[in-house]
Amino acid sequence: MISVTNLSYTYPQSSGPAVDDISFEVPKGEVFGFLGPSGAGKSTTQKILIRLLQGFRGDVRVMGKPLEAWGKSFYNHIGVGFELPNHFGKLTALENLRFFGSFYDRPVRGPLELLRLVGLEEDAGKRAGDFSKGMKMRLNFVRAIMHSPELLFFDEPTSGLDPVNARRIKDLIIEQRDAGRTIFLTTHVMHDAEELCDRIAFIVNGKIALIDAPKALKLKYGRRLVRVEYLNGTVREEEFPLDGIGNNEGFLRILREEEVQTIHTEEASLDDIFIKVTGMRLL
Amino acid sequence: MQKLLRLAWLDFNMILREQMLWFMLFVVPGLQFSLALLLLPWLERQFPVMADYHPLILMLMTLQVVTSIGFVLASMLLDERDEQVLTALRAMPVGVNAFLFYRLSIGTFMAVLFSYAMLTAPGMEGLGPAARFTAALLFASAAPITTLALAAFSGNKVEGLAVYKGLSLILMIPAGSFFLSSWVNYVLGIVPVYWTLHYVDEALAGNMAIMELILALAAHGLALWGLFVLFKRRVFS
Repeated sequence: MISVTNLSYTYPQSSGPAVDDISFEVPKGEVFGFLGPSGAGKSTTQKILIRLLQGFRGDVRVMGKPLEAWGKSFYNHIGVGFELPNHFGKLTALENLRFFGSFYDRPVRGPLELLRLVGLEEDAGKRAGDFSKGMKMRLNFVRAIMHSPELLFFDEPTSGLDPVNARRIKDLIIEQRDAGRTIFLTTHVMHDAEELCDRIAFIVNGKIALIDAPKALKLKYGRRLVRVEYLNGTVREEEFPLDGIGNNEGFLRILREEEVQTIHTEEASLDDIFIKVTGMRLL
Repeated sequence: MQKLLRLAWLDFNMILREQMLWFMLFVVPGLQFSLALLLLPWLERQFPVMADYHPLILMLMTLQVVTSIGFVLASMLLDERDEQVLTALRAMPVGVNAFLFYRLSIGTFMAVLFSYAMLTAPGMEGLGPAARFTAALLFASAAPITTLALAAFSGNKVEGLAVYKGLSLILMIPAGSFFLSSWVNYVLGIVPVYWTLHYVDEALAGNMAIMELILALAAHGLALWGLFVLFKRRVFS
């Protein structure tokens, strides 16, 4: 669905490249996460992919066609959920969706149905300018999916959302993936990436440091241990090798005789892996 | 056509929802039109010396009407820039250029109607229908020029108001050419409105004023093109 080869981009007034010779592929139906700290080149890459930035070097193909060969019809096939809300503040949520929906040359979902998806049906008649950031982000989200595009770009889709609405948006992303859509997700929230993405790429200083499935990364960079917390007068903690755990007498004794508080395998978190691979923290 | 009507309807709603915008779009032109119909003829009767300046005053009032339309559209564009709507439109099949073209066209269309109405006021009887329409078209070109200049040079609506005042003054400077007889007169031709004023002046005298018309079209076209490029550079670079 997306094929990027040796992509580089330097902003006009900048001395160094914002994106430096990166290559990756995103097959159809995949949720691909682009992770990195602020200024790493995530949004620049996304802007190139959605044709907002010209003058890049390298080969970028979307849906089998070079990016430069696409015309305005490109936007009938993609949906973009921007990082910052962008609606007509003086128009209501309903009017905003009708306005943007009128530009597509393909059927669009009903605006009320869309607002219902993100819990905004009761605010349909309220001006977007009076919305909270979370409400605006939800409106951003449904605007991106309103024309059922084959390819979706989301930039920090859960930014500014409370846990309930973040959950709602993540469920909708999963729904889109299950419907066969390809999703390019830019985020610095590792938890979201881990939950939603089939594969992730770490980008730092414009370069891709690593691409793999979250599960595979966690196993690769984790310790093959089980950590048990149990009560024996005070809280105690012990670690056991994961290999042969079923025959480990010490482990089995604790399960049998002690009051177990927690049991965790020691796979690495994406945060840990990011730090290990890039030497940087996600901010 | 349906899309255009829908866009126009939403724009109309946005204007109605902000007091300053509907005041500038309907009240200011309404007042100017009333003054042109009632006050100017009355003043002329009281002070006959004003008769010579009546067409010029009317032209400046027409200019005020079209720049107020330009101001309204610029305010909307500034809001849309602040709200990042223009970025969202860039990722739409319509594209931001088409949207800007629509915005400027609808402003120009309204400005043609309003300025044509102003040019029917007493004092402009000397203009035939074709010359009146041409004059309305030339005056109306000041609306998109105002819109683009304000949107390009202002960071927000408050700044926009200050730039609007400055621009209104600049656009009126060519009126000074009617009081100058030396070559300095032509220096004022750098402001496109100069050629509009002189086209109307010549047309009122019964002349074809082809040269003024060509120069007016060229000056407005050049100003529009330059401001459009500047606006896009400032907003999207």
